[in-house]
Amino acid sequence: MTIQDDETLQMYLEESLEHLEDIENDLLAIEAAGADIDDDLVNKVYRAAHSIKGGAGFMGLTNIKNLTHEMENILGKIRSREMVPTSDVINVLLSASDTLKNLMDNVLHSNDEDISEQITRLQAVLAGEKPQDGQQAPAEEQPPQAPADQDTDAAAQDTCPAPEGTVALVLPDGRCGLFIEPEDILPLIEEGKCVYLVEILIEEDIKAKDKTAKAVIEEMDQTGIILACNADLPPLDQIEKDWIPEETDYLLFLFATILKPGDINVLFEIDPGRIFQVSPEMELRTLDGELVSQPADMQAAEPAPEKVEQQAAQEETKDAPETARAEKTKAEETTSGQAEKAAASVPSAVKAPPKAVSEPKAAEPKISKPSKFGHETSLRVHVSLLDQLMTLAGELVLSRNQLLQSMASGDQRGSEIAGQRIDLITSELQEAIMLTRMQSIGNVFNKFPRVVRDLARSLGKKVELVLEGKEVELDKTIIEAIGDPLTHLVRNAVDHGIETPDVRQQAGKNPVGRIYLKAYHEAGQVNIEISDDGQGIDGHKLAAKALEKGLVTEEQVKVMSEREKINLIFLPGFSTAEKVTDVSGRGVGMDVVKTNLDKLGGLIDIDSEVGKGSVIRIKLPLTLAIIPCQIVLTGGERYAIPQVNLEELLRIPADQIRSRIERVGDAEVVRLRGNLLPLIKLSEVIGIEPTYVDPETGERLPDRRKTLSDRRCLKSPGPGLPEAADDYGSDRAEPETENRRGDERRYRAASALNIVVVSTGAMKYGLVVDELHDSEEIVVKPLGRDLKKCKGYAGATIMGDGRVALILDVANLAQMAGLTSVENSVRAAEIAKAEIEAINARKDKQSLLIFRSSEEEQFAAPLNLVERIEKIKYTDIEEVGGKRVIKYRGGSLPLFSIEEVAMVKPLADKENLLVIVFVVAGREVGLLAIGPVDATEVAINIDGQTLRQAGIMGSAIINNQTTLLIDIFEIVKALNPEWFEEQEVVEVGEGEAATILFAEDSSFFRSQVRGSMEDQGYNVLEAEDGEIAWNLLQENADRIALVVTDIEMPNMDGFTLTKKIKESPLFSHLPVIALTTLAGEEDIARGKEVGIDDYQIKLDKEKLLASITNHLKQLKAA
Amino acid sequence: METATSNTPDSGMVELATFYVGQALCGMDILKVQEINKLMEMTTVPQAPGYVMGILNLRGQIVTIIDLGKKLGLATTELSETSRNIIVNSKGEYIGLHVSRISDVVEADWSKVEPPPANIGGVQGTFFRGVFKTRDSLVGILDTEKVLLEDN
Repeated sequence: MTIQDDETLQMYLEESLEHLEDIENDLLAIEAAGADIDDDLVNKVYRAAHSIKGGAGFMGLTNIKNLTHEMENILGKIRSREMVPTSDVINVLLSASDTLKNLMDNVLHSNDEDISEQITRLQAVLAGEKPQDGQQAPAEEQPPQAPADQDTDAAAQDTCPAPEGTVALVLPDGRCGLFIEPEDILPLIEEGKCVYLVEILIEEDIKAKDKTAKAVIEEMDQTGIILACNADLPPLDQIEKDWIPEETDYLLFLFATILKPGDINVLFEIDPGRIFQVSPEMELRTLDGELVSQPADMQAAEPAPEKVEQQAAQEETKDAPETARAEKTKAEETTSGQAEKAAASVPSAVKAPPKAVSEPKAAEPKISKPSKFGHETSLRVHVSLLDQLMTLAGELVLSRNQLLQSMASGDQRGSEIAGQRIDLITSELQEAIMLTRMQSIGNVFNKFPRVVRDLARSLGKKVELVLEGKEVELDKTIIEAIGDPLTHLVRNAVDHGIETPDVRQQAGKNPVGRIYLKAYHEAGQVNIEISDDGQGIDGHKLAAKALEKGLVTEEQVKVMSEREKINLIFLPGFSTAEKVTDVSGRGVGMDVVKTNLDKLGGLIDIDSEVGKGSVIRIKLPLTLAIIPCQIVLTGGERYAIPQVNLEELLRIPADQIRSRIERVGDAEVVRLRGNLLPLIKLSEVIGIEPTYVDPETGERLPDRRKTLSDRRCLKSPGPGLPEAADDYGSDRAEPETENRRGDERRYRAASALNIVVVSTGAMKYGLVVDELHDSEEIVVKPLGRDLKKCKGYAGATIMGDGRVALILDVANLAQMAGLTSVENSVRAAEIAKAEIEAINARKDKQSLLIFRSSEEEQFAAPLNLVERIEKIKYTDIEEVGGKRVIKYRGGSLPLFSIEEVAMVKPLADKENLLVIVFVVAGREVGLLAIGPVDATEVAINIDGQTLRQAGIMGSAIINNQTTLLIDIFEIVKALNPEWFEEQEVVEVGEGEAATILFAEDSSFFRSQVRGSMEDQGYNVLEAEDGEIAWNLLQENADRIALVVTDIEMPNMDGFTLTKKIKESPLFSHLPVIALTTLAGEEDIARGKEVGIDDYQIKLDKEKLLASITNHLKQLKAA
Repeated sequence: METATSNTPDSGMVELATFYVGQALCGMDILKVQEINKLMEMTTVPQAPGYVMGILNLRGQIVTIIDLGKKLGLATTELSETSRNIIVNSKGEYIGLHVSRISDVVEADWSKVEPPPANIGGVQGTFFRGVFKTRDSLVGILDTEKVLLEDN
């Protein structure tokens, strides 16, 4: 084989690989179109295959040539609509293109590869067989059969099955001549040239006449064009003087020249019987103009489908016509009898290389072969971009000259101008160079239709892949690195996501699953979304699996959100496939995907709904080479934190440090908008001494504080209190570092805490640094091998002043600090819980219904007392017996408005009114109101004094407006006192009312509830929290008959209090009634667990009193 | 490791750049030396191995500076007026060897190079490819690749 010089080969390979990629996708498109053949598309593939073949022939890559040749045959049939491109056909073509790719990957040894299997299969397809049957039995075992219904020459034709679209020129003796393509030849004939098929025998015509092959070829080249040759002709200028074709003893040329048939033999001086003219009908004629005896041979060959063995032999007859010829010349088989001809094909089959018939492999297409996204050695860049680069380079040189000149002549101004120019040009140059590295993500996406198709086929699923945003461009390195993770995700979507068609149908979905792959730009990053409409990911299953595998603990799972559970999939060693298939479940899973993406500075996130599908979102930086970074300073050195990891910068003023930094366990956390954020001190993680700048001296001093909430303490007041010299300073009441401020002495801005809030994937934490500097674009440089073990750095960069700064790897820093992602999520959950409890302990939340009676005043009523709200017309209201009622559910609903009892503005005169229905004293009553109504859950401080009046229990500020809280019981009682029969007061002993211990932290509720209990006649002991209540209980052990407690209280909550009461033998008999603002089921369950006897809503006086009475009675009875 | 011995055949003449590591006079093939400088604007790398002094910017390349003394098991080489970084290219990456003092360039004949003794000036003999006697001193020829192996 002749391999051309590297450059040509390289070019050929690049071009061919490009073609191959197109071929693959086009084949899929052809398959999708089915019988509805798109000619343009087929032609495109045909042309691509053809140019690969052409080049391969030129390069001497016979295997590639042969393979493409066979592909071409099939494509030709598709093009001429003799074959429907079924999946089976396409499958074979695809696997052939895979083989081609492999051959090209290893091009130097491509000719040594065994491609007979592929060829056989292609030929089988061509013969119209199902590819599965395509593996033929060894040809020797099959006796040649003459086709029954073909004319005498058909057999000969069968020995030369021509690729579709080509014509086999068969010599009069039945040998296969050359395959020609009419399109190549016709134009030449039209030009007036004559095309000849010339057979030159090496012994007879060359050696015997003392010629050389080179001379013959040179001569031909001078008088015409050699269109084809049976031997692999080296390029003319490389033919050795004594070159003769190795494998053959004759040369067959297809030759176009202006020489007329009468003159042609002047050139060759051979037996004119071996020169044939090719007519425009692609027929061979002798030089006398007579048609060569086998007219059938001249037509486009149509392989007989049933002739398996012929098909099998086809490779050899085509591949090695020389061999066949050699055989035949020896046997002197020159007769044209059909049987002989049929037999003639057999020896060639017998002579077939053993590999052709050896161990037929499984015909099943190799579809699970992982696709590789190799590194390309060259890149295509648009010429205009190169021109731009060139211009910029020129500009740069000019500016440099200018700068040098200015510097030499000491021209400051000139230097500045040149400097500015260089600055501009550099930025532009940087941009342009980055552009050369940009490639569209389509390069990666285009591989997926095939991946999805093959996978879906092998899994028996139907999947449609939709690609969007192929044109989005990314840096070459990222494109290369993203391929494998994306493939994994897409495979996962097909394998685990999309269900089988019958399952889908049962679930009422379209049996064809959809995978949506989308890339788009957002916020300077590239986003890739892989969504499917499959079965989704079941977080519980994942959690159970993780538990089973011992990756997480039960406690951890308990506090996990659904999302966190789904993100468990990223844990190393997690494979979700219920059964391990050959596609997924190879033990490496999403964790590898995540690691790979982390390396690229990308983020991955999963969202999923069981039964609906999953969405995987990936965020990638556009480029890795130059990244924007936040520069921070710690321990006197600068560090860069990639902007992708940066969430926000946090500066906690000195006087808030104590209140916002807390220790939870052994970790320090910062309170940030209601969430607690774990903190990591950079200096601690990388083991350096933090510093701070002394505000007075400007010196950088080591910071000795152990925990963040510690204060810096000057052991000595410093050299002579600098302010003493300052007139104003000494006057000012300077709160020096002494005990002037009591607890909090920090006041200087320099003492503020600088926190960089960073996130990597699911993890978010605060990195405490000494100082925050600017944000800069930095160029990432790798670190040397001695520093590879330092996990905390992602690389280094050179700062403007020429010094080097390290780039921090925030994910690894977190790991080094023991803040791994799952641990963190659990801890974060704990912390968040602690935080919520802390908040709840301080404030009571109350659900309120907000409404208006007149336009101006806002009212609120406890939402849990409201039954429902009805819309009525003013005209629906009837006045009967001095009372307003409305017909309602077959009865009359008594109506009232607030101003009837309280001194408020009258009800607005509107046509449309609202009726808020309450149940008071066992009856429904309606409060007339107007909108807008709103329900809010607010933590409010209710003022029970300022605006207190009949019917109004107090006021609060809601939505920036003073809101009156109505007391519905009082209102109804004032209007209908007869509804309320005196509740029986349960007495203890002689006429003495029972004493109730009441624990409640909110003074408003305390006075409200206490009032209602005292009104009823009970004695009430008040406590502000659980602890006080507990103490009171012990002091008044003999008096207290019942405990009413709030749940959320500081120091000791209601649960703990109840637990203590119920556990103590002294008090365990006491009934405990818990008061809540809104009783959640979880709370109730927990309350029951600790022994709470009853739950009541805080402002529902009636029920509370009833419950008290009830319990006291029971107690008495016991 | 194949890099333990360098590509230069141990024959013919060789020019040695000599320098002091602590008290020991060491030399290395001058062709391995990229440059010698006294840039000391190093950035320390917390958590780096003890022998790494820091990294510095050598015209756009990040160079790891190694305290050669410490790497060879001697005392720390202090930054001083005479101390220099010898920048060598090892396995495609620039590494700076910080030495306490630079000395002359010595021409040596490989045939006259003797196998190293067990130690030279406190440095293990295995780090040397041999010793060469000049008129007034003994130069230990360092096997730089061996010295720069990470795990010693």
